[in-house]
Amino acid sequence: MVFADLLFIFLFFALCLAISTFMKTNKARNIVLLVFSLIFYAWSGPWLLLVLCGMTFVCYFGAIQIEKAKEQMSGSGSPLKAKKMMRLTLILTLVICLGALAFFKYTTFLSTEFARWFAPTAHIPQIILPIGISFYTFQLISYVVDVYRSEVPAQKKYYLLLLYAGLFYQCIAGPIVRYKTVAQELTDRELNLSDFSKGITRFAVGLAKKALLANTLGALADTLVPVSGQGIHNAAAVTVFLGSLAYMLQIYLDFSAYSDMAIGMGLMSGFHFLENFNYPYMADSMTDFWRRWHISLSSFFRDYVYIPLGGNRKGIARQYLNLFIVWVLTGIWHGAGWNFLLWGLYFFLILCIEKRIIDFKEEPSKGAYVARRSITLVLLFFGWILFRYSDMSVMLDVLGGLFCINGNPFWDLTTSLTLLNNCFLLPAAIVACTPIIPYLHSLLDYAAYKKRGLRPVVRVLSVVLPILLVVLSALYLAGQNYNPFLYTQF
Amino acid sequence: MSNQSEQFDPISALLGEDQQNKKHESDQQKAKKPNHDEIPQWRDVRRETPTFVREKDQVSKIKIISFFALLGIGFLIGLLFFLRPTVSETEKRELTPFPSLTWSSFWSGDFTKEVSVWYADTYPLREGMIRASQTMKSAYGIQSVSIKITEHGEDIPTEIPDDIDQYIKDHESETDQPVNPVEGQTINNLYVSGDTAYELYAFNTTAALKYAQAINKAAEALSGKAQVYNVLVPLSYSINLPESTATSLGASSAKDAIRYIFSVVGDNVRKVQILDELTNHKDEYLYFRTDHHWTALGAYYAYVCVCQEMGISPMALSDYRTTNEIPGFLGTLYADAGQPASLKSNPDTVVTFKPNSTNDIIHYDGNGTKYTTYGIINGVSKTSNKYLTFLGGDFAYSEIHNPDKHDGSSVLLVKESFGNAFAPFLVDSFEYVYIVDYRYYKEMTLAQLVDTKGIQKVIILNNLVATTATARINELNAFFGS
Repeated sequence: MVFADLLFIFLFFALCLAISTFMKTNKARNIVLLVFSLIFYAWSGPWLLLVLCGMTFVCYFGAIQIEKAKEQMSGSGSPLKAKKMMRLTLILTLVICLGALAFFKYTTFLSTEFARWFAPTAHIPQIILPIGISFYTFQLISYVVDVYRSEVPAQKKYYLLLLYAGLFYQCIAGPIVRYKTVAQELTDRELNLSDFSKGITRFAVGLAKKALLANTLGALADTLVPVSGQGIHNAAAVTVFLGSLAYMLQIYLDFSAYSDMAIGMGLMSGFHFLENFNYPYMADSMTDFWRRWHISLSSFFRDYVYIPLGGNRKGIARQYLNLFIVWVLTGIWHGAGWNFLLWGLYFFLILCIEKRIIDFKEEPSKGAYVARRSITLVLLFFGWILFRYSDMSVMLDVLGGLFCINGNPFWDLTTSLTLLNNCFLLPAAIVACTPIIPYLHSLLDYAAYKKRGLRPVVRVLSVVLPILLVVLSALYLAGQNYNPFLYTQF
Repeated sequence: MSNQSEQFDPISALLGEDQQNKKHESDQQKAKKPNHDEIPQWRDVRRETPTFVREKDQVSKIKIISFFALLGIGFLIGLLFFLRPTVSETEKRELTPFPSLTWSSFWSGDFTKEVSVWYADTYPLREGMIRASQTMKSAYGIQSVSIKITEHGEDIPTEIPDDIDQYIKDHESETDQPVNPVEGQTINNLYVSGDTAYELYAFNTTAALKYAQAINKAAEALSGKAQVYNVLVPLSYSINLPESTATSLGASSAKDAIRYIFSVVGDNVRKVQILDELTNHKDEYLYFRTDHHWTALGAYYAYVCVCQEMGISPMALSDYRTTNEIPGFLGTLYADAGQPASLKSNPDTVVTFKPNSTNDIIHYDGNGTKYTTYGIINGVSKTSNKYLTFLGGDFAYSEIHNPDKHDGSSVLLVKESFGNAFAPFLVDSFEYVYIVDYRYYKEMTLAQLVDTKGIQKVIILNNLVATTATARINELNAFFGS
């Protein structure tokens, strides 16, 4: 099931929200949420539940063992043996989790590559990737490691850990919520009007971003620069540019829409997830971009890979090696394919160069600031092209097409028609990638603060707009039968 | 929340810029606590904007109640099972039925996937919602001239591969696309300009070769029994749009495609060239402007070409005693283009020429059920799909006997829906006309049918788009018995 779907909104979520809101205790709410989450997850195939529940059990059991060993360490017994036991359990748990992730995610790709070179006739196993596994595996790992680091106590109740890992708000496309962020709220949270109201707005904005903008942009990108590569070779340069731009806008709006909806639904049931995006296309350097893009993933790699490897504390050479490892992992986390590796290395390279040439402590001049922002956007534009095409020949067609190297025209009728047919969509999508609307909102808010007479207007808008967005999105969703979320495949 | 500030310093350590990080943090703090004396500044805007005026609980309550009400209404409408439609009038297709439950479909998740599709596809207010959403979509840009391309044509090669069957085998997986824009499915490539919508054809080498080989197999199977005629129907853009426009829209050249396919089809098949004849009459009403089919007039000129190829004299248009005009037709392209106003205000008129000899036809559907209630030309005042006037729609197999002729002449038309407008013209020229819609007919192979009925001439008629759809060609092959 995906969020931008009539069945989800009007049946699944409507029921879940109504039942869980009217439950008296958090325990009852948790059980309702868990049941709904399991149904949601099983919707993509009940066998997937075995993977989710199994991996959660391994981590549940591992964390409890780690905590037991820890108690032994501080108590009587032999501390050395207990410490060994603790490490062994951690390693074993991580090996099982990462092993399962690697098995589901990379087996098909690796055996295809192996077969290509060594055994062209071999039968290649086609392994289905359990939906959301990349997200919940990382959540579970962060939990076990945090228990090991004594940052959180182990969860004694299996069903609560399963709720943490499998909560349908974030289970299949993030954000990667840390256990310590929600540990307390799992059992001890309050519903209040203000959070609920914020949650509705957030959910509505996310749904509209997905349904009204991202889906249409996605269709545009698939038409102009299809992943299959069909027709790209002869397409006009500006058409290829528009298609790639549509993809760049889509991937942010789509993915952040998912996080918006997750955060919004969280607020409606008393959870406070951390932000996952902060207007990434407003970044003034790639360094800045990665502070703003998929924050829960980059901070995961920081806290569980980069720093444990020594971070920047073991000399410059070691620091670059650590960065290299992080970016290789970031690349392949996004998918099993050479292009994802290439994409990771592309950012590694840019970040290394930025470290050498940009002095982040200095306030840039106006000109330098504009230049840096433009360069960042251009580099991102090409980054998304690497990201999109697993077929290298198609990628080269796209890159060549942008500069008329394919012998393609610069401009043709399709280009003008595409521009004409989307002349309001593209600017609207660009605006949605910036904080312009929140800024206008705060201006209006300020005006209402100064002038009492404006307050009723603000109140009416704050009720009507979110509802209107949900209605418009539902209308739009009714008219389309195909709208998978981009990020659920990772 | 255990650590508020963590929110905005995700990867700072990764990049080793602690100071920068601190700066961001302090910015963040500033943003959260609005300075009530200053106008908000652009640079202070962050993910969570500061609020100057706290929302009143009462306002929150109204908002929450409205949200619940909205979900509740949507939920209740979804429950109205008896109002769920099964057919979409505007899209001219059957909606997804509720899936049947089997253990394997349940376990793999196919069942639930289908349930989701069914729920959205048959949602009670869907038609109205779609109309509303189409109005919304027109806000995405200026749509007076619009284009939608989902299939891109390949370059039409000048040479034929040495081993055609091997070539098809090697490339078959690539052609396994969901292309089947014949009747009831969405149209892949569409161009709308003013009051006219054009379906665009995208050439596919492997499919073209496969189609040509299928025709060769048919001729082989009928060798010594009946003569095979092959008609390839170009789409309206090939006749009515300048070639340069078609090229810059990415549409394949019908002329080159037909030449290529006919160069692979053997000489034992009579290849009927209709492109030039249609082009000669390009100012006439040969194709619908809101539907992907041709008009009876377009089909008539193809009939003239077929007669010439057969060496018989065609009926003149003025010979037809009963002609009829049915106005107000908005067809598939209209639905597919998102019901644009420019088409809606200029609907098509369906013109029919009723055969002089008889209007009687016997139909059989795919299950062998017999129908005698339809005529060759039908009244269609009650249905929105006026193209159904021709034969009453697509039936697997049909027979017509011309009482005015006694020469034992017989013809079999193998067709998809483009053949419906064409078939009525054959009636006055032959004693027996048999029609097979190869998409639905499963009873006999071509050779068996020709033997059983003693058929002398076989016309295989396809629009060019059908030669790009693997599913269509597989059905042809199945009928030809290979």
